[in-house]
Amino acid sequence: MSNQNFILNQVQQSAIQKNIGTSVQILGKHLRETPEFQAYIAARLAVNEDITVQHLYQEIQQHQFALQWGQGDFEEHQEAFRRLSTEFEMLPLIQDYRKAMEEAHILFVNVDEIISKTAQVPFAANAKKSCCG
Amino acid sequence: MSLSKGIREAAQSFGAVLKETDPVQQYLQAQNVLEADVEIYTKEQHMQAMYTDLATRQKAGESLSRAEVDKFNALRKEVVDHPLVAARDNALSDVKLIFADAANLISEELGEDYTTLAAS
Repeated sequence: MSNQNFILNQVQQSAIQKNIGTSVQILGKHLRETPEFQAYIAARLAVNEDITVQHLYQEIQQHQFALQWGQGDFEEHQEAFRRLSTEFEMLPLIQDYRKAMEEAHILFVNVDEIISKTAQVPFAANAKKSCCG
Repeated sequence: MSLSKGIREAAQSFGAVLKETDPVQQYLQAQNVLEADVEIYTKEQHMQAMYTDLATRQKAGESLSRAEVDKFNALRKEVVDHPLVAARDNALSDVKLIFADAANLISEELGEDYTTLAAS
């Protein structure tokens, strides 16, 4: 690549970087304004602020920790873990949260399909950082 | 789910900008060169089909024979060591870096992790 072409390429890539920033802002604004995303955020906030949910969640975690580290009676912890997990999933707030999350997920998958089809490379699948660096 | 015109256009515009980047252009070019080599491209397709078959059977509880696994590993090595496949995979590594950066920008805009919400 000649010096002139190299500089031209740098200028083009710099403009593309700027376009990425602008496109991201526009896409982010549209996504934030969707009813699905707003319902998901509201449902999560409700879950995080509910004392019953938080208390039950902490209890489940304690039993899970005991099972993982072999503390206390295995059968007792396992039974309590299953019972409380079922109780947790039956809470209306949790059911609302799961439903809102699923609808937001469908929205994002649909949006990602459009991005990927236009870019000709799967976007989210290739944007996810691997566990090992 | 029907998407609004605005969100559809925003997603298309973002995808188009990503496609213009050097890493994506180089990846698409490397993939085209690879596909033009019928022999190695066919082998790669065969390897992927073989992997899907082995993984499905193993998941169903079947015990795979040593010979089958060895045959797959030999084919896999032949495919991944091929210069055209290696060039395409290297180009994809660069795509992943720029895609991760772009996804981080979206996540910052949303206050939520984009890749988690969009994971298939």
